Amino acid sequence: MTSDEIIKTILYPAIEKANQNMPNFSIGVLSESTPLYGETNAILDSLNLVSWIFLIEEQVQSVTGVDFKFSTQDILNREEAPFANLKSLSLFLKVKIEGAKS
Amino acid sequence: MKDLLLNWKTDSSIFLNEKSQSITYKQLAGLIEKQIAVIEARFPKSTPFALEAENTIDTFVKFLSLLCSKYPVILCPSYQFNSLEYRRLLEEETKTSFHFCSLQQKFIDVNLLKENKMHPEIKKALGAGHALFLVRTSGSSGKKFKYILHNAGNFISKYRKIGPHFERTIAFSPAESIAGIETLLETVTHSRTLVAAGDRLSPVLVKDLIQQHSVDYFQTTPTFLNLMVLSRQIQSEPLRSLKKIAYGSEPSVENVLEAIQKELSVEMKHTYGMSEIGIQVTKTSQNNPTYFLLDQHFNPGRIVDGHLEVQSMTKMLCYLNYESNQDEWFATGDMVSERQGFIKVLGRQDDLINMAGRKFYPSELEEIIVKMPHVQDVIVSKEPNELIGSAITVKIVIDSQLSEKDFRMQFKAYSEAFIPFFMHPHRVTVTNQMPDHPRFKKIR
Repeated sequence: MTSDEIIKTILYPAIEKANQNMPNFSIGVLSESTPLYGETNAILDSLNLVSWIFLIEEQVQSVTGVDFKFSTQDILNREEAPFANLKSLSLFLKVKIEGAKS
Repeated sequence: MKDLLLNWKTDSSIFLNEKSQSITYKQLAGLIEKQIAVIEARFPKSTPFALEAENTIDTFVKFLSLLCSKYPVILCPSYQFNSLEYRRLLEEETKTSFHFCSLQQKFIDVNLLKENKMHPEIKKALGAGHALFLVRTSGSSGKKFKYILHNAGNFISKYRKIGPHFERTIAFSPAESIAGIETLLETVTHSRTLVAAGDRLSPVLVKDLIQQHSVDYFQTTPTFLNLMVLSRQIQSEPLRSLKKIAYGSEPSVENVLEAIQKELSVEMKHTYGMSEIGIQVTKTSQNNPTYFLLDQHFNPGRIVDGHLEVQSMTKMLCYLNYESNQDEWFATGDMVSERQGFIKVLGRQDDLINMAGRKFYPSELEEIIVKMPHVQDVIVSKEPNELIGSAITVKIVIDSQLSEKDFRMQFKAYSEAFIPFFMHPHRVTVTNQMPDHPRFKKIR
């Protein structure tokens, strides 16, 4: 899967689900570079970030069959913050999905 | 407390940095003296207060005024303060009548008590001249909450003995928690500076506060440190004023602490405390900051059958609604492991959920959700989560009048309206099938 495909088939659907169901989650139009978490104008806070992570994990499982969980070690090991924006998150997931499949 | 007030009257150092305003100790003393005059003129001597509380100057002034004038006080978060059920339980369980004072109210506007009940232990402690505050803590799973009585003077004595060890810190923990109260009392004992920015602190806001106010001591939780690492807010340049980071209240993750140590040249301080005993004086292993020693001079500790017991300078005077057989050794209930004299907290064997510095049992959230239309049953549990310690998962059984999709939309709106933000579930499963579980609403 390319990172664009990950954004379209995993991340956008996870945002849509969260918008419909998760308390205090209301995200409008966003670009690949919109800050997700950690910046002053980021769209997620510490509490709804985890809800969204669960939905991403479920969506990865449903679309690719890969069962994985975000781990602190994964995040520490990367130079760029995975949750900086959609692009960085899709690249992070690409590596994880490819790693799980190989 | 009153001797502190005398010192503050001539002290021009900064007590509080809040948004764009600063308050000096001299100004604080002036505000407190005005409040004391109102309290003593309006309310019968030593009648207890329940204050709606948050980390703001108004709450701090009201709380310190009540302590200085020896009116017992309990701080309550808004979601509890505004619940009639909470108020009923507070008065019933403590066998005490309270004046309720909201965030917006001034003491002059608070209604006088119609009846004046007081728990014999509060009377006894007042008779001994103590400045008293109460803390509500969790009972064992499924049982009622415990109300704890503390003598503020014990905390002041402890801080004097420890001595000052920071210049500026952040009001991070909820105001009503023992950690929040200790942060305030330790700061004012040594006329240090508190930085306050409300109750919902994000990693980026904390980084900005540290940088803007040259904070040198940050007391937080392992989960929040995880989130700071996750959001890449652990940066040496903006955080260069920091000299010490303290973390406690839940098991910590070694690799996160190591990453922080690598990035920042700071002392890592593993704190340990409970509502019943306050925050203990500890020494942290700098080789592995998930391990710490209890200072045997201040608060001796021992391990009995894998569980930690402590003798504390700031041990509660008593529970107000609970029989306790504790002797001078307080059994914490925390399981610990030991390595070369240092101990590591492994956790507790209960289903208490700790989120954003507030603790609650699944049954509390269940009681809110079960009141929602179409809900037949609900089961709340916590699941381990690497990023935030534990996540809240909810399984809801609904009736057949509503589709799952429609229910989920209604649940979102209901949660935003009725569930406190820190109890919002992270994972929600909805079904029409009644699971075979003892928490069924129908057999409650």
